[in-house]
Parts: sequence; structure tokens; C-alpha cells
Amino acid sequence: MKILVDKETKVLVQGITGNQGTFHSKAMIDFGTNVVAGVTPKRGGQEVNGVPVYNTIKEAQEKHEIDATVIFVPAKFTGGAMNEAIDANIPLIVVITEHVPVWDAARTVTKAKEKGITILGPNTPGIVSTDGCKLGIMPNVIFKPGNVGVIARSGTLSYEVIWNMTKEEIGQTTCIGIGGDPSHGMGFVEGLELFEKDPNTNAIVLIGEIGGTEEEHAAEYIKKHVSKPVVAFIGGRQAPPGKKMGHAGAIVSGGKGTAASKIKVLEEAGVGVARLLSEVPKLLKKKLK
Amino acid sequence: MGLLLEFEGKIVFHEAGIPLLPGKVAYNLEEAIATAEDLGYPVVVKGQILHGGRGKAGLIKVVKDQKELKELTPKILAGTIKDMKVQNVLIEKAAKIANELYISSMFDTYSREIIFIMSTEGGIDIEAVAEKTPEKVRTERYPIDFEFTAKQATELSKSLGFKGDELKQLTDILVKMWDAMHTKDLQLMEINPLAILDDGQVIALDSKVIIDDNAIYRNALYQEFMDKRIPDDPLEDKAAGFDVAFVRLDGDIGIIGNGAGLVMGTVDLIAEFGGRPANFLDVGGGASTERVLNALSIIKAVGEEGEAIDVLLVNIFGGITRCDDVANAVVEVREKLGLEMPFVVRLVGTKQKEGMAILDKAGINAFTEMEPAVKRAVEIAKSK
Repeated sequence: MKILVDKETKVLVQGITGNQGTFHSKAMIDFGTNVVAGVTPKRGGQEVNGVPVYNTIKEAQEKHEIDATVIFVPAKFTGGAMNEAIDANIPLIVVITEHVPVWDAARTVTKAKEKGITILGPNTPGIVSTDGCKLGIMPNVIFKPGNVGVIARSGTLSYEVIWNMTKEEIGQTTCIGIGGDPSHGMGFVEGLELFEKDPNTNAIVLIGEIGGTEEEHAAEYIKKHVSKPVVAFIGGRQAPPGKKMGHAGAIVSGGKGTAASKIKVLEEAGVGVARLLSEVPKLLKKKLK
Repeated sequence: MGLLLEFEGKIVFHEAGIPLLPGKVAYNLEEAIATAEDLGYPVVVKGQILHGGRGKAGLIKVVKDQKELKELTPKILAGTIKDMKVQNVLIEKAAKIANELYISSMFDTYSREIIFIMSTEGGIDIEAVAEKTPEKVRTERYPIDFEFTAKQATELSKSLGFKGDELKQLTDILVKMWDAMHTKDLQLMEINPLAILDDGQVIALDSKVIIDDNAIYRNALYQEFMDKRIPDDPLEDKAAGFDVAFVRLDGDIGIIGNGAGLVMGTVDLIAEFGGRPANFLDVGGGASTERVLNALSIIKAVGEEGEAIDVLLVNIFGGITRCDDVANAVVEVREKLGLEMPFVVRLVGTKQKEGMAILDKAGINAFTEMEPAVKRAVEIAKSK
């Protein structure tokens, strides 16, 4: 396994019979993902995109080995779906759903950490390993196998950066979305740790945005523990204070969490911070020389 | 951010069992008089507004009789701070205060802990107190799955020198705050000041409560609060109804795009190239005709209410969304809403060629890359 997933990873899709679940499980399979089963309560027995559907994770596990799950269920039911996956000891849980109550996220993440289970999200676009494994909703066409690891809070901003890299012939190892919500599972620090250890990754791109303290923790970690070059982009430089910019976590409050302060700490940690999205590949080329 | 008005926060406190002064919200003078008569004068009339600095703005007044109430209440009800309007007034029984303290509980979503801050100084900026006289402030963090009981609450209160009956009351309040944070989808409960009355009773004199917007659906009380609010910005309210994320900025380049991060990046880029963004608007996934229609009707209103929109920039990173569908939606909605300003559209994703052809035919500037599209929009805006 590369970072968290690879083409051998046996994937479960929770909520596979819904619109999103059906659409994206097809795109995941097209990308090469080994989707072995789906779960939707009371919908067991059918097939979606050739994948057998079960009522519960337990039933699915009786027939299949499962390494990771991706959750496409409505926000109201996401806490329950995460709990079911945690109780089933699935080592990686990717939560796509947006608008999950923050207490549901915090409680499940706490429980997962105690069991050594990794959660990505909620409100993440997912994770892609360019050898042919995608758990999530990123567009299939933007990726190119290569040696740069990408970790991001925002989905669409990461698509733009990855697409810019691919056009400049800079490929990726793994692309990780940590999610745009204030309480989420894996953070930048844990992702950086994985990329630092990964022998296939030569450089890291970090895509942050206003609000919270992820970038500040990342800067501190990079200074102490990351030897590989890091390039960053921070969204929200023009955001007015006190206004939530789409993501629940993207808010400058009490003068804290501004783009300027995040750029400053990252630059102090030796990170090359791009002002334009198109500068990310240029900075990478410079750092990789 | 789900900030509650003082009176809404106090209803949450009441449900949590935190003691308050007797009082009731009033939406007009008649209701204010009725409540004041019930409570008995003197009463305090407190303007309800989602902004700090109410005292300085003259929105909190002690009233000794009906004459004063009639004179002051309409003024407070008509009050504003910056762009915000007073929503209603809270009428509370006036009380003699012996001492003012501070307590807050905050949900740190990054570390998944509850942070209690407690101080012997209340009614003032807690950060300033912490800086000048740190010995008067205690900060304690507890993981959310910790079992916080009267034991920890007593220790915390004792460490600031409280004893006897006060200690008992404070302990009780802390435990109730812990429970409420866990059961009522709360992010912040701040009581500043927490007052000790001259009869020794400890009560919450003010409230600052932040709820989780994403959990309103399972808290009927919060839904009721939101339904009764007078929107400060009707357009923001309309956008919320459409389920699109919208923030007003003050420029002449209207923006819609898909994905919060991409739109944030677009706003930044416009400014980087010397342009002035008029708004932030994330249409969300799908970008169907209906969603584009909703989004553009908001931008149209932005231009009608304030500075004219000189150019409209659409930035869609398709991938999943089909570009031909988006192009058709943009052309259709432009006609339907009679939008005459130039459009610049950036599209990338599946069926890209077809999408570009539809836009070309409609005479719309179409791009596949973000930077040239933004540059073009800024040029058009500057030429106006």
C-alpha cells in the first residue's frame, strides 16, 4: 500500500443506491478502484454498477474483506454510518457528506482515534492514489502518476491545482482531501507525516484556506519534521472578517485565521507560498531542481 | 455562524437549568409594557442585535416607570449598529448586583475538547483580563468524552477562591454548561457577566451562545428562533433559502462558481489582477439551470441594490458537471433574467467542446483556463 490506499484496496461504498453513491461508485470503478461491495439499509440483494449491495456492513463483511469505506449518505444519517463503519473496524473511513453536525463528527472522530481508525472528512472530496484507486468525487481526468503528494482542505481548489500540475507534466503520488469542516479526522500534520515517510513522494503541495488552525499546526510540524520541499496555496485572502466563505470552517473570527497570518507562518517554516494557482507548478519545479 | 441573540441564548440557558433574572422578549411597545407591568418596575430594556457594543450604542437602558419605558423602547427598537438592526427587546427585572464574574465553555473543534474559562472579573473583555491579570483567570480543557462532574467543577471554582454557597452555585452552573454543550449542539456558551446578586444568588446577566448551523434541523427551538428573525440582509437570507453560499463584497465583478475553495480562489485572483469582486457565491455541485438561475438572480439583485455589476464571471471546474449543460443553463438564464452586462465563462470538464460551442454561439467570452478568464473579466470591468 502506498499512502492509505492503492489499487489493491478493497473498497465499500455506504449509500451506494443513492444518486451520488451510484454516480460516483461508477466513476470510482472507471478510475480503477476495487469496489467490492455497497451498503444501503433495506436495499440489500440488488446490484449497483455490478457491485453487490448489502443491508449492513456486517452482512457485507461476511462475504467480503473490506479495507476502506466511502460514505455518501445524507448529513442526518452520516454520524450513524460512521459509527457503523467504526464498529466494523474498517481501518479507513472517507466521509464525503457536507453539513454533518459538528458534534457528530467530533464524537465519531474521537471514537475512531481510540481504535486507531483513520477518518478523512466529513466534507472531503476524498483520496486518490494515482496507481488507480479513488475513494471520493474528484474528477478522474485531472490526475497523472508522479512524485508529488497533495493535501488540501478544499476540493475544487485542489482540482484546480492538481490540473495545473498535470498540464505542466508534474504528476502526483497521492492526493488527500482532509475536508472543509471545522471538526474532521486526519489533519495536515498526519498527512505530512505520511508523505514525509513515503519513498515515492519527493515534494508536497499543501492547499489551505482561511479559518481554523490547520495551517499553523502544519507550519510548526514542517519546521521540525519535514525534509521534503513543500509548496502551499492559501485561499481566502480577500475574505471579509466574520463571514463564512462557503465551507463551515472557512471563517476569519476575532482577527484570527486570516490568509496573511497563515502565509506568514508557512513562509517562516520554509514553505514556498504561491500567490497564483499557476505558480504552484513553477515553485515545485524550482524546489525539485 | 450560528450566533444567537441574547434572549435566544437565555432561553437555551433556561432549558439547561442556568438561573436568570425574570424577563421576556417583546417585539413592540405594547408587549414591552405588558411584560414590564408583570415584572414590576424598575426594568432593564435590552435591544436585541447580533453585534457587540450595545451599551455604548445606547441600546440597554434601565427604566423606572411606564413613562420612561414608552419614551425609550421605540428608540431602542429602531436602533442599529453598523448595518445591523435591533430585532426586538428583552425586558428584564432590574436587580442589585454585588459582583460580576465570567464563565464560558467553548467547543474546540480542532482538539475536540471543551475549554472552560472562568474569571473573578466579569462584564469586560476577558482577553484583556487574561493579559493584564492572569491570576484572575483559569482555563481548563477537557476532552469531549471526559466525564466532567461536580468534582472538576468544584476544583475549578475553588482555584479562584470561591467558597460556601457561591461555590455550590458555580459548581452547579459549570456542570449544567458541560451537559448543555453535549446535548444541545452548542459551540459556545459565554456568560459575561455572571452576576452575584446582593441576596447571594448567582445568575446569568448576559448570554453569548453559538449553535451549530448544521444541527438546526434536529433542534426545534433553534428553527423557531431562525423563523422569527428579521433578516439583516434579505439577499443573504434569500441565498440561504436557495442553499447557495453567498457573501456580499463591494466591487463591480459578479462571480459565480462551483466549490467554496474555487470561488475563494477566484475572488483572490480578481483582486490580485487589480479588479474588485462584487461577491462570493458558490452554486454548489450540479450547476443545474435552476441553481444557475437562483445564483444569477442574487447577483442581479446585488447590482440593483448597490454598485452596478460591470461584468459577470462564471467559473466552473466541471469534472463531474457536464459543460454543455452548464453552458445551456448560463445562456438560458441570461436571457430569462435580461442580464445585459458582458459574461466571461470559464468551463473545464466533460463535454467541454460542446459547452464552448454553445457559449460562442451566444456571443459569450469562453475560456478553459482560470487565469486568462479572470484577466479578461478584470479588463472589461476596468474599461467601464
